[in-house]
Amino acid sequence: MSASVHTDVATPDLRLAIAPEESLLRVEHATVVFDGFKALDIDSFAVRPNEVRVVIGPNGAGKTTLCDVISGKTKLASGRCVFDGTDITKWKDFQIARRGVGRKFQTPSVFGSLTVREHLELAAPASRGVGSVLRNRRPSGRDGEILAVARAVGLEPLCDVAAAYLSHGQRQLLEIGTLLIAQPKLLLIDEPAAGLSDTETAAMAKLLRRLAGSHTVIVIEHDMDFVRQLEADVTVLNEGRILAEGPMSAVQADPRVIEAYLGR
Amino acid sequence: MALARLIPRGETPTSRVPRLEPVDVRAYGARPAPEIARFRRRTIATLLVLLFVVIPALQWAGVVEPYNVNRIGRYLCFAIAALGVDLIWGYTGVLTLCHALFFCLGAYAMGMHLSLPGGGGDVRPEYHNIPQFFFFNNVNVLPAWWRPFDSLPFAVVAAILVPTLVAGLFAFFIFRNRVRGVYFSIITQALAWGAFLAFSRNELLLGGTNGLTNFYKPLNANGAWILGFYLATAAALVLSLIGCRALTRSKLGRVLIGVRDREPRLYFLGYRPELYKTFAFAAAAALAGLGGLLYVPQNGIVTPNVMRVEDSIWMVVWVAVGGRGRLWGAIMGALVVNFSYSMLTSDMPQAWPFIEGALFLAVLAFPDGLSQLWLRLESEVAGGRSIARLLAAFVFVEAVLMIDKLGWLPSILSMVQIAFVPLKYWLLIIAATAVGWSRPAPAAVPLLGLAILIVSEALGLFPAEATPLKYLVVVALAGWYVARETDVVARVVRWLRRRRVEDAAS
Repeated sequence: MSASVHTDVATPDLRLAIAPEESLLRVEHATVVFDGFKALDIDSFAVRPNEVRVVIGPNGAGKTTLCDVISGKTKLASGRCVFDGTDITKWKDFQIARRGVGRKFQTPSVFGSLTVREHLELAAPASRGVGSVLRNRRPSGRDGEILAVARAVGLEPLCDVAAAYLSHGQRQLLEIGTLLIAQPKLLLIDEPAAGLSDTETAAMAKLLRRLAGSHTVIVIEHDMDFVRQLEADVTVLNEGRILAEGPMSAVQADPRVIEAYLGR
Repeated sequence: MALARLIPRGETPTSRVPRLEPVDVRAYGARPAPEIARFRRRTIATLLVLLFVVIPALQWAGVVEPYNVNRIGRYLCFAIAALGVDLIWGYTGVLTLCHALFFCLGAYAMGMHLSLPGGGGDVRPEYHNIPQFFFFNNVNVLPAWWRPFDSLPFAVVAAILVPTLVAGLFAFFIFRNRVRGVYFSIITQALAWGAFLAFSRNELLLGGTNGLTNFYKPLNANGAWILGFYLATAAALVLSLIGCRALTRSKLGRVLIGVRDREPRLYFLGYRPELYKTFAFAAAAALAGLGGLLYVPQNGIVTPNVMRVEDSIWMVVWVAVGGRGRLWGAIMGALVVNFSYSMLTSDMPQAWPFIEGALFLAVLAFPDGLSQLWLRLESEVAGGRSIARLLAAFVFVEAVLMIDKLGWLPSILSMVQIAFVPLKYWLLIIAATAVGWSRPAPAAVPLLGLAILIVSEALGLFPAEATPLKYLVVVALAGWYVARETDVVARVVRWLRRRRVEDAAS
């Protein structure tokens, strides 16, 4: 962020134009209010199928809140959220998950006593009802698929290790693995590089880039090096609003973005 | 992509590492080593023989009194209920404080059957041929909702279905609002208390505070009946264990563990944890109902006193003592706590509150309970240590106690007393030590003490004169293990030596 073009002339909005028909996800005129504080105030946020979109922004910009809204953890005060042609504004979290939105949380949230294989078994697409799960035998006959995913995220040798024994980075990878096997239409990935070493970060970026062709991915991140490695379109949030949208290079040159990041 | 390339060895992420909560690190899917599997198979076979062959044979031979077999039968009912607590608390992580209520619902359903003529209840013409307490409540005709309980199949089905349905509905409406953790526990406590107050009222027509009694007398007095109920209970326990094991090993069991470890995450995998918790809670209640159903005929009475919050807390303590999250731990805990309770309250009633307090502290200090000791033993046996001689000593002690009970030991041995204990018991200890002397698997030593204590108590073999000795033996065996684990002796020796060197230097 060296090219500091400080100007008082109003620059035109840097935004991506995505028509409603070609979007997989649209969040429109959305506001989220916590105790009178507007945590999110988005006029329009859209993602095309099979694109990787990175959402960046300073602390408290509303990145995770946006994720919460899409996955149904937080309800909108106004506005709507349309996914795959369906209005999911009022849907519950598990309904949205069943519809095809997978989520990885900021801190890896895994089940400590379950092994890597068991995580993948739980996440594999199958009916989630109590009755059908009760009738479901183990092993599930999905071993090939499970091993393939474990290999893809590099956890194959650790298939029978309980998640509590995994390192932080391995847990992050396991979370990605559970997303992969569930085959969601949309992946929400909150800070995949948090707490990773440089090598792990590079491996994670490679993994996400590989997903790009076949999956729609929204990545939340504030590690700029990592974002650059992803080579994707970027949406910048600040104080709950969308500040700019576009390729990383263009966004980085935008004076408002620079101001938001560096302060006045 | 090889793991080695992804995550280089020895490299730890340093920046922004979120604090990880302590989690249970057991890998449930792991297969035991072949030696451990063999050891387990043998143990299970031995226990089954003990349960279904040895104990009935001992009663038949007159060594064990029917009263003791009856008590074992009652405690096995508690073990069935403890399996339920383990299912909902140990596996699903939901602390329930109303499990005794579900036990009582099953017990009352059976108690109603046993109060009626169809169940051999003591009904008399002067009391209108209905259970006597109705008469004292000015009710002369059997209420309509009592009538179907005259049939045994109906009562049995009701004893299991009523608690299941009550638990299922209660849990569903509370879990649906995403009430979790301690808030749920408090609500269950309120439920247990409310139910206790309701069942204590005469207006409920279930006998008020006196409960239901006046059953067919031989049920818990006649040897054949007692043995029959004991065997039925043992079979029910084995079947419940097999059922629970299948459940916890299924995919559903994995979801339950997921609820325990990180419930909110399940929503985002598309699961509805509240439904799974409801299922586990209802299944636990069904087990409690089954336990209660078998308990009543063996106990001869059921009163609201058994559904107090305290009793539910005790059920949780059983599982905690045995080791939560392990089904056999729950069974072991229920039996150990109940037999110890029975023994200690009769041997030293004044000390019981202190022992109770110590037990609560111990449960906090050793979260895995007794199962930790057993797992240690398994790995020691797999490592080549033997327990054969200790087992021989155990059998020897039990055999001598039986012979003594039958009065076959020479009476001269009873006349001489050393430290208020007859000589024969001192000799027994010396002989048992000679039989068991070896380099055993260390964890087997305290378990041997526990086994002698519990089995002898269960079979009613402890003579009153040997009371001080039995505690001495158990404390010595447990003390040996603790001293070994903490290396106390070596430390004291080192300390003494250092002092001597310092003395010499000065």
